[in-house]
Amino acid sequence: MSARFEPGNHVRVATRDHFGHVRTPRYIRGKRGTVERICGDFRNPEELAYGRWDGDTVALYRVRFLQREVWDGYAGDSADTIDVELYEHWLETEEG
Amino acid sequence: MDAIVWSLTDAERPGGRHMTVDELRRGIESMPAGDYENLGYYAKWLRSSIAIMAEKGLIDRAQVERRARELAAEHEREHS
Repeated sequence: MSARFEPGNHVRVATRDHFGHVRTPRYIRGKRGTVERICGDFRNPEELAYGRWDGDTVALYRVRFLQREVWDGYAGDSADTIDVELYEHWLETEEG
Repeated sequence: MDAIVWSLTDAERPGGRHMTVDELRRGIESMPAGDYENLGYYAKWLRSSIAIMAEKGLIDRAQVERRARELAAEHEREHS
């Protein structure tokens, strides 16, 4: 396991576009969250989807976000959260 | 349909794996928007599996479609 982040780290999801199969939902790009757990190392679905089955593994994280920071005008409880599983190459360090 | 996809993606199977679940997903995402919106869950699996297998040259799409038409015609004769 060669995970760059650990539980409790503050991260931001990259905002870049991606052409082709990708598991990072658009609604979460650019949002700030906190690493909830390291799920393990897995091969990259962005490569697996095109027949490259033996590529390097990537750390996968479960990242927790406040719903009110994800959705404009979120009407639910301000403490509500959403967990999204994200691969390491989609995460950037967020200060604070 | 579940069994077919399970069999195609099983790495332990004799003969090896023919597809990853990520390829199946890519095939579903690549459909025309109308198909994506109108087809059911397993119809999407079927459509994508055929596309991925044809892409790999494991099946001939025209042959699959011809056989599907034959079976549909047979079904029509037996139930009309």
